[in-house]
This record gives sequence, structure tokens and C-alpha cells, in this order.
Amino acid sequence: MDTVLSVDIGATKFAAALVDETGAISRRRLVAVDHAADGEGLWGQLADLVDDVRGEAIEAGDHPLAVGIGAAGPSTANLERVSPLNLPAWREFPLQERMSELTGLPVAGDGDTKAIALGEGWLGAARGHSNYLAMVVSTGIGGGIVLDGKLLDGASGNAGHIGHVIVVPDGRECSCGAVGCLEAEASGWAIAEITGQPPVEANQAVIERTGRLVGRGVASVMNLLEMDLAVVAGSVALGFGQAFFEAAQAELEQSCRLVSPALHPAIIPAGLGDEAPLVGAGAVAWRALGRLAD
Amino acid sequence: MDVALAIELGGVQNSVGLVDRDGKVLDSGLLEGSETLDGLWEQLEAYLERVDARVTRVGGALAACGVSVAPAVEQLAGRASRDVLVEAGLIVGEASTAPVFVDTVGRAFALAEGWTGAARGVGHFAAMSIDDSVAGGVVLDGRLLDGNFSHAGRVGHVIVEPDGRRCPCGSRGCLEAEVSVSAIESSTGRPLTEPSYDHMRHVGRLVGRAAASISNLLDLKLIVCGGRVAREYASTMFLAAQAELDAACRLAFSRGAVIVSAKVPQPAGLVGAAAVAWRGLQEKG
Repeated sequence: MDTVLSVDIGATKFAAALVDETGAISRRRLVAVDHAADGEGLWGQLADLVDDVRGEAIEAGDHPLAVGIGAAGPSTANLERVSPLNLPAWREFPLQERMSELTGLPVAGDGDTKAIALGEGWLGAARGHSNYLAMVVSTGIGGGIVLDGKLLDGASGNAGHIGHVIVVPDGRECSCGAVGCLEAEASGWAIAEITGQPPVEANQAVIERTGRLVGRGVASVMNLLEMDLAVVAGSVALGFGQAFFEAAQAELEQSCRLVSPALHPAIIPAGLGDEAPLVGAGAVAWRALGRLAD
Repeated sequence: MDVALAIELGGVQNSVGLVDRDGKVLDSGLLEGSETLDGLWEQLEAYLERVDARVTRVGGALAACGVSVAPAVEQLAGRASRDVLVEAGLIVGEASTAPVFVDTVGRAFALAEGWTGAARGVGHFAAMSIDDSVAGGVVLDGRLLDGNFSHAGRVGHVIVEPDGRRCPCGSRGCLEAEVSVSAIESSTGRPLTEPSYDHMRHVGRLVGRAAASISNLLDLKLIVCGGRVAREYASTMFLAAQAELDAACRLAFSRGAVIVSAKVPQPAGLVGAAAVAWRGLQEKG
């Protein structure tokens, strides 16, 4: 079966694997990011990882057709220039071009949360839906939106960035410089600042407040775009679990009240778990090849 | 020459006309208003009987029909009890051999601004029209976004004031609940035409807040704003809205977002309805 090479650029690790047309993952390899390395050093780590996975695959008679990459933002379209917030050694790093030189394959890249959105629609909790939001609530908050069956790109490829929808006017100052963004109120970073403790130590009140605010941000998106499914990944949301999702759902039901025609809003956990980034990056490659099944 | 039959059902004012492929209005008129939906349909049917003669008179050939429907018309039908957009489409379809396309006035407004107005040639923008309701549409990646039931772009229900005023939709603090004509008149106790300077700035800030959320969410940098409130409050409102955008659009891709006044001249509603027709023909024809 045909495969693509899937690459995930995270804040703490790089991962690579093969992803076939059914979304099955094989030959997965990980490497912890060396935060002491400079830009070329980081690239060396990633190149070795990709070479290993590809080399093994080719030895076994498997020739990947393309490379798909999901990378933490910000970045320019197709990952031509990446500057992941948590990888300061890369600023405007030409990832797409370097990967293309390394592998000689077509390379398609996108933001990590947009990749996850594709993956969730392909094989996860949004499977079969043509209108949904996929979001990640972890240290930061990001997302990707599929509408009318298409992943939204926006002017520079960053559409779906729900973390900077305003949910508390006159609220906390956000890392972006604005005030009251969802990320400034409900991200792992914000929770740690507000409570003085990491999110795993959060009490019931903090969990419920976080759920309500996420629900409020999602309600604005659902009302605006007329969609009714949000799937949520990320360590904070999934770690908070049921109490978080119940609070978010209650807020959604209060705030998505348009009746003509009616929405039936639902906010649920993402379905792909740890595999989401690699499945998503694989989906980015299959999408670019025009072979991502609807 | 291909022409579109354009019908804007605004409720209080209902316009009809013929518009060419370039957005030029060749013929226009008004239907008499009606207190009931059935009365409005009778007016519409009477006009439709005369359409062929009008098309001949402008020397055109009818290629498509576009209908835009305002929330006020849906209210004539009672809350969600009848699908007014579908009914309008059926009535026009019975009288015409050309394909019929129906949409909301907010989305028609967005299409018109993208066609011949302030967003002409722009692939990513949001449009909002602030009247008795706050309607709109979003164009992204060169396409008007549809959503579950082809009503996407309801800018009026972005939440700008949590725990704010009760919205007609049942929620609280939606943009519409704070800045529609009726919201303004009931919260200030004054007619729209006699605003205080502070209140105009307050409305501008809320409009800017919704616009900023949309810009950050969707990676777009142009918001077109029209409607009675935008016209009455004019530059005072726009300056306050722009200041709020400047403060809240701070991401690399949203910095520099602008809010501008709608530009399609009257009868803009007919241009919008025609845009619905031409878009329909292109996408689904």
C-alpha cells in the first residue's frame, strides 16, 4: 500500500513515521529536542530522524510518495518559514525547502493544529463531518476549522486560531499583547499564572471556569460559522476530563441559541489521542496529493 | 445580455430589479409592504407576472434569479415556524424558468461588497450590516463560507459582552444584543438619530471587539461594516472600532486589520440579491 512520510515538529520532541492511505502508522520514531542546539543542530536532529524512518522503509521496499509535516506555529504558508514559539533556535527557518532537499520528495506542511483538524476529520472524533472545529487546549490554545468540507486556510494559512477570540473583555493580558483572549484565560500557561500551580493541580472551580470559557469561545465560533461540533485535544482539556467537558457543553448550550435553523452544539474529546499529530501530518500529505478520502 | 432578477425582501422595504453581470442595476422598483407573510407573497407574485416584459424592455435575457431575505421577514412568519427562504425560492421558481437562488441579506451584503464594493478583489474578509439585526457573511479562501445550513457568517452572534444584554436568539451579550438599532434605542432611551458621542464610541468598541475576534480566528484583515447604525454613527464609530481592532489584533497575521465602511451605492440590496444569483449560477448552476 502507498505511504507518506509523516513528521511532527513539537515543542519538546520531533516524531516521524509512515502513514498509509487508511491512516495506519508504522515505523514511528521519536527524538527529544535538544534545546541547547542551534538552528542547524536542530535540523541535524530532524534530518537524522527522517533519514532513519525513510531508510528503513526503503530497505523494506516501501517508497513514501511525499512528506507531510505538522509544525507548531507561527509559520508561513506550507511551512516555508517556521518560527515555533518554543524552539527559539528556529526563526524563519526554511523547513519546507530543507525537507525537500533532504528527501527529494514533494513536501506539504501546515500548522500542527490544522493538521490535527484534518486527522480528526479523517479518522477521529469528527469523522464524517464536513463542518467542525478541532482545538488543542494545552500550554497554549490553537485550532483548525473544516467548513463546507474544506480545511480553512485564511490569508496566511493561520485560520482556526481560536486562542485569540476574546472571551473576557477587560480580562488578563495575553502573550499576544491583547486583553482577554481565550489563551490568556484558559490555557495551561494562564491557569498556572492565575492559580500559581500547574494545571494538573487545578481544583474543581478552576476546571469548571476553564470549561465555561472554552465553551464561550467555541460558542462564538459556532454561531459565526454555523457549525455544531468541536473536538478538543490537548493535555489540559483531556487532563481535566469530564468536569471540563460538562462545563463547556453547558456554556455552549446557553450561548448557541439560534433556532432558524437550529444548531445542536457538542464539544467532545478528540479521538486520536497521542497519534493525532502524526496522523494529522500524514493527512496534510495525502490532502496535498489529492488522495485524502472524504 | 444576461441579466439577473434581483429581489431583496427586507420586510419593511422590499425591492425588485434587474442587474447585469457587472453589477449595474438596469431596472428597480419597490413592492408594497405588508403586515403578513402571505400578503408579501401576493405582492411578489404580482410583480413576477410583469418580469418578462421588464426584461424585454432592458434588452436582456433572464439568466438567474437571486433573492435575499432579511430576518424581519422571517419574523413575519413567526419564530422558526416556517422556512421563509425555502418558500421565497418556491414562489420565484414557479414564475421563472431561470434557476433561483436564495440567501440571507447579510450574506448577500458580503457578496455585494466583495463584488463591487469595499472588499472588491479581496479573498479573505468579513462583512457586517448593523440594522434591526446584525447580519453578515464571511469570505475566506475566495469563497463565501456556508456552514451547516448555508447561513454562516452570523457576525451578530459573536459574544462581545458576557453577562450582557439578552439577545433575541436567547443567549446573552451577542453583538446584536448590544448594537442593533433596537438594542441601542432601548438601552439609551433615545432614537438612533440622537446618539451621544460616548455611546457612539461604546458601540464602536463592541463592533471592533467582534471584528477582532473574527480577524484573529480566521486570519483575515478586512472587515466591511454597513447598515443604518454604521451610517448614523459614521466616523465616530469607525474610529473607536479601529482603535479596538488595533489593540486586539496583535498576532503576526492579524496585526494591521482594518474596518471600513461599506461602499456599494444604493440600491445596494439589489446588487446583493443579484450577487446571490450570479454566485449560485457559478457554484451550482
